[in-house]
Amino acid sequence: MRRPTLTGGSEKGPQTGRYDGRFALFLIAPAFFFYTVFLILPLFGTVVIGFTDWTGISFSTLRFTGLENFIQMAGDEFFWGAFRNSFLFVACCLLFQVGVALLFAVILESGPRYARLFRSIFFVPFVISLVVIGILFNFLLDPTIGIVDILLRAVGLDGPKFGWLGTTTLNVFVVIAVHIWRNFGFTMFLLIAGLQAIPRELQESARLDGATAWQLTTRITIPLLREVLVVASVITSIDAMRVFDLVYTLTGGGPFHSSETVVTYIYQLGLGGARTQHGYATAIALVLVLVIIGMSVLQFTLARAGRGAVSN
Amino acid sequence: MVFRELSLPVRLLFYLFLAVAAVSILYPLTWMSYTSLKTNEEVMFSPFGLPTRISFENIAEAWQTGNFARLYANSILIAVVSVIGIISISTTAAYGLARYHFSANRALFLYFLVGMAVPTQALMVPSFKLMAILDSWANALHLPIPLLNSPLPVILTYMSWSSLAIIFIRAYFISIPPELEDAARVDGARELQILRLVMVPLAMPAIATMTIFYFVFFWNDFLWPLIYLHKHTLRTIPLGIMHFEGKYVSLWSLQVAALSLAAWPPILIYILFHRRIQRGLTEGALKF
Repeated sequence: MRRPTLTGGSEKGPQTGRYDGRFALFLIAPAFFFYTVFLILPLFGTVVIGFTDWTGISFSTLRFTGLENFIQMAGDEFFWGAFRNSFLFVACCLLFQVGVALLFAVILESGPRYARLFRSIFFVPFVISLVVIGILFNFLLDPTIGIVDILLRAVGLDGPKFGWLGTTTLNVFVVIAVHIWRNFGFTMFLLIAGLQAIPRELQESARLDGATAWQLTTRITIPLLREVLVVASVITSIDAMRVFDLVYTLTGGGPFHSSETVVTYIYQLGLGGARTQHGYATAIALVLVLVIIGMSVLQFTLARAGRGAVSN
Repeated sequence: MVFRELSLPVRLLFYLFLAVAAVSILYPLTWMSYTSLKTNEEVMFSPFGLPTRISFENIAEAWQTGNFARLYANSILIAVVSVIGIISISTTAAYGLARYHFSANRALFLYFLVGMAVPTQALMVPSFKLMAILDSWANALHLPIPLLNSPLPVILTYMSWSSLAIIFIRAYFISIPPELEDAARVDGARELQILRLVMVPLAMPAIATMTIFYFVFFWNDFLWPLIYLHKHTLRTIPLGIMHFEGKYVSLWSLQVAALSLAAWPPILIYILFHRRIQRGLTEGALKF
């Protein structure tokens, strides 16, 4: 049986099968219904509502305001702050989450003792709810009862005065660190899957030719891993771009919006706050959709360009 | 690279990395677990020491005051109904797309592909409005469909995320040789029987992968319950934990016990089925 790929190895659709179109539509109809009504319709709604100042649910109050929401965005320092934090998230996760995952994937695949056990341990946080993790780290990072500050005090140092999460310049990085702590095991598993797909013979022959471990890793393993690395990077950055649960439970976006990310800001403006601004929140969501689509297109294009350069 | 051929300092350094990472993960979870087994006095006097005697008083109290029986029932209801729903509709749709020639086949496939690129969180405001509008219509028509203040809006939202399952299962169906179906057809099986008795069992690996993937996702999801489940009787576990923390700020031994109650069942299931869960989540994501 062929290993399934995205399109089943056939861009043209079914190579075999029947021609009873009506029966096929009957099979597809339920999924089509839920997908269209509850995903495509809201997506369409995002594009429309983003250009209005609509707050209610009655269509009679729907009023188009042109580019007003987007002009408001340009002058909204919290919007820029939220985007800056989200991009910081993406950059740090690409660098450290993918970096740490790659390091551990390569180490564990080379066959140290207890490799399976380490692998399984690293994956544990990924199955736990982010809310539980957020609250747990609230305890560990608490300035008075948290283990981190207690250990620091034991060696004569002091944690930040208002706690790791109460310091406006530091809190984003702390949230990012917890996010990476939770997700690197998952990224590592993606890369391990990629490493296992590399034929052993390539490494064997290079090893017999006298290549060092470092050369083997940087010249053979990582170049051959490039496609999976790109997929892992895309998943990592999209995940980081839409982070919500951890920020909500660790800092709530504060103090004073300093750790707000795009999705927490959309929630805050659109549904969470006292005075909701549906139109404005949706306009920001529209920007988020475009940014995320742009990011994945960019990463896949770069990967394709990279592949071209190598094969030439 | 072969580990045992590396020089001793390098090997030791690598073991150090692995050990530090493992401790950083195990310590918080261990601390959480044993703290919830301590008495309140012990938590106050030695917050980081091991319990001298195991006490279930905080666990029991957290279960009671946090209404965990209710939280678990709600989480199980939402996750199970959504997973069964989405896997059923995606499997039939995937079969239709994989095996039937009709003019709209390719267009429909591309249509479902759009959902892979959409960050669902970005749709929160229009989704909420849509549910509110549908709810007001249902009220006006006196239909007994509660689209707010019930688990239904969360389940409906989850069931719209079918793109991944359709694409994943469709690809697997295409990889199955068509002779098997033809044989069943010669034996007189009807189309739906072929799907149910021949194709679904054959595609079980893909269906199981998607089931695990979506279940973990729905179980841990926080945003959509937060948006729709305002009544405390409807809360899922992540939402319940969040509110528990706000309510018992000073009683942190009780809060830690509540965290254990939320974290341990998934961890135990992971310990039992770790290979299957690891594969399910990884394969699902790699099908990007």
